[in-house]
Amino acid sequence: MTTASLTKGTAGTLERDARGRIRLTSARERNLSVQITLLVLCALTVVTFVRMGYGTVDLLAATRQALADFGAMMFQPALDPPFGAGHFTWQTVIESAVVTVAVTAICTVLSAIVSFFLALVAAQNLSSPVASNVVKGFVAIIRSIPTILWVLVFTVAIGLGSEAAVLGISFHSIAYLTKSYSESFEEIDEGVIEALRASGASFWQVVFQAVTPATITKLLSWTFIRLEINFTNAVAVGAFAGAGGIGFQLYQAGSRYYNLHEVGVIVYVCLIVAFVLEFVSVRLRKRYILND
Amino acid sequence: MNGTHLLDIRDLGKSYEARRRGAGEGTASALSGVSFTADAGEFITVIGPSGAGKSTLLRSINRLIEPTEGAITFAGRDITHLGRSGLREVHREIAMIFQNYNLVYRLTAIQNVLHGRLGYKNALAGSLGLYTEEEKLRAFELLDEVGLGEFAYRRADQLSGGQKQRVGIARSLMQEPKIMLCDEPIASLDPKSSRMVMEILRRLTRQRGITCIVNLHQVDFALEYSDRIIGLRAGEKVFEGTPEQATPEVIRGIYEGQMDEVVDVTVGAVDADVAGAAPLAGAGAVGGAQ
Amino acid sequence: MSAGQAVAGGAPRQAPDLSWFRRRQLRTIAGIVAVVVVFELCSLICNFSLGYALGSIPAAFAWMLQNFIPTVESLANLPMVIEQTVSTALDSVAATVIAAVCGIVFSVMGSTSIGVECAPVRGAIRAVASIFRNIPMIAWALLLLLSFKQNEFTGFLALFLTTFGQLMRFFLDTFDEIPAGPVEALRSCGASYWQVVFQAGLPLAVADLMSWMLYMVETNIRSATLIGLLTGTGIGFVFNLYYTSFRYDTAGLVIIVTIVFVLAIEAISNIARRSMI
Repeated sequence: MTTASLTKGTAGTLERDARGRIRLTSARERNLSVQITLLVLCALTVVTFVRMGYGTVDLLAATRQALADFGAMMFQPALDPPFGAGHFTWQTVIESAVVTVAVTAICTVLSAIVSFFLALVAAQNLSSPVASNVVKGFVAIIRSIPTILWVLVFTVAIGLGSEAAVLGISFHSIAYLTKSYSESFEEIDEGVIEALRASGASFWQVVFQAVTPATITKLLSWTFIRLEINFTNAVAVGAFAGAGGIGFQLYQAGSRYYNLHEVGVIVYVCLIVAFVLEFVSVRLRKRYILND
Repeated sequence: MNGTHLLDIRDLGKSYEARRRGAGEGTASALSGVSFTADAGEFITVIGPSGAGKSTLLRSINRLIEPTEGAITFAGRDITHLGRSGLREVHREIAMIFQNYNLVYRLTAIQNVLHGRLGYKNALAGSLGLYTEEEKLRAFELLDEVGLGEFAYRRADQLSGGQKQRVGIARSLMQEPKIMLCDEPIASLDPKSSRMVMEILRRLTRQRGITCIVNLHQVDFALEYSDRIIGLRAGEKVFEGTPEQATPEVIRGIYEGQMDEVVDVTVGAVDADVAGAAPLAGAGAVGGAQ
Repeated sequence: MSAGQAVAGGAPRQAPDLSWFRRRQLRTIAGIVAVVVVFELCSLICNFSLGYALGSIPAAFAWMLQNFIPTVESLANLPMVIEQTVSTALDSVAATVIAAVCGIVFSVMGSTSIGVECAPVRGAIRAVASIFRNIPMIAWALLLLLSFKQNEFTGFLALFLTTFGQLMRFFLDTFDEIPAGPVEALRSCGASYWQVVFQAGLPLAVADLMSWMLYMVETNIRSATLIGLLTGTGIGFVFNLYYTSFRYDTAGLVIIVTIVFVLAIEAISNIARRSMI
């Protein structure tokens, strides 16, 4: 296929591959990072499967059983006999769900307040480069430690109870929110802050008259997202913090009584709470964004 | 039915069912009773105020929006009720140009141009982007024709607005269309790029006999380039005629109650952006006329 | 009657007084009061003492610094800790990749931008994704433990199932947000459904999809720690083993190695993300 029909410049631009076919992307300019990343991830996956311990069970039979168990959990949830075994009453299940929601709320409020101030220091446009980097580095380290490790540490350091759960979840939550908040702060139009500073406003006046109003919808949005994550975490650590809660009941039903019908009931309660939180969070986000 | 016209639009209408609570009536009409014909190589512009139904009209012609009334005959074939596969054949021959260019910004210019061939390719080859050498060379020729041959390997998001629109034109030419529907093709462009794009479109009608139906915001461009002008107001056709017949009074009638847009006509500004700078003179003139 | 008139007459005069700033102030105060009330109520419910919690943070950190400093003996465990951390990290990569492979088809079909035309199908896909996402991780782990017993594969499966739900949400959001223009342009060219998906949908979404996958790998290391506690694998298990037997030096070593790994993975994925834009 000749390029005689093209102008000189275009013919010069056109590239061909090793087999003489016309290329659709330039060999020099193309960006292979997506392909490379995918390749690396896939290669690591293969490595994982090769070196993974599969135990001694017959995988096919186990799969069949897992599906049957899943059916029992999702399609035959029950607390009372014949399926259930009467280990839990509706009251304990509901009460523990309320406790978990309470832990979630406390964690979210605490971490939102702390993160707001940390984020002011972490935002590059509001603080000094040194302070910003120190806070960002500190927060990155906190964030890299899994929530469950925080909780385990606090259960020993300050004893079992809701405090250990709240502190454990909040540490990670604070790290997450500080990062999100400070990124929101950094997106503020520089001119707004400059104008206020020029008019002699103090730091806190700038914060509450310019920074907060300009970012409040984003901050709330991040907080509500974190509320959902915190609930998931509160359920997950419930079994280990000794703070009670629905996660603890779930752990009891699954690993002490081995009753999947009861697990099913608790899972449905968790699902309902999660859906309500998601619904509320989406509604609130919409309302706040519409209002401002 | 008149089989001699390339495109024959009869009583085309589109009404939306009002789903929202408190919206009042059961249906809201975006377009009603619009009829016109188009022949090969004609340059037709559709003008009218914002919300007059220009965009709905254009998208109803190739049924991106399903019209609720009327009939569309294209190349002697009634396409109003064509099924999916029939519609695909029609879509090949009716190309479309958009205000926002609608390029896939992560792909190169040449890949975007080749998208025009998708209607001709089987699902697998098209999905994987496997084109024949002839198609690729053709795409280069078309880019050359719109003056962008050297930008073939540029990613679409690295091009300027005018260049993007020219890639869009090359993409639609790749379809080998009989008709090009252009939805506000120059609304986002500067005056120089606008003129360039309009020149290319006119050349297509003259040299290749492609029919162009162009929605335009800028009346002065419409007067300069069109063979025929159609005026829409509130979803109805209120004018059809040559640019000579579209006197300032007629235009004013089309844009009744739309101050800003009348400004374009009375001041005769080169483009909408410039016209925005001289609103007082225009407003005064209109006030005087009324 | 006259009182009613007075009120009616007074309202418009008072309205400008309650200016935008005043209303904003009132709303802020109401919001703060509501948060405080909720906080106090929740503290009562779960028996939480803010004073005790805050007061014990310094002691807790002092305790950690005292006990968690790895000793020379604990360094002997370093190869084992690193091996377990690597296997945890690999598990999270594998779970993410497999979940992405399974999730991408469903999220394309369930999206509002390039999804299938049948709305109930889209709704069903989104509902299933939501259920998978919200079933607690512990429930998955406990369920699988019964059939697959305690081993790494069980942990991987549990991780995969939760990742699947979460990635589906991110993927669906990504596809929902791709610009409608190019999709419309390809349809108007006569492109078929899958041609639109591959030539417009995927190229427009690919950078965000990859970014979410990398994010998922990062967060999965944390989830894998918890799942490992239950399935007896990975760093979660190692940490718990040494922690409950009071060998805090090795437990501290686990934390340090985890920090290093997670930060390294974050740094690498940030580089990858930036080069993809």
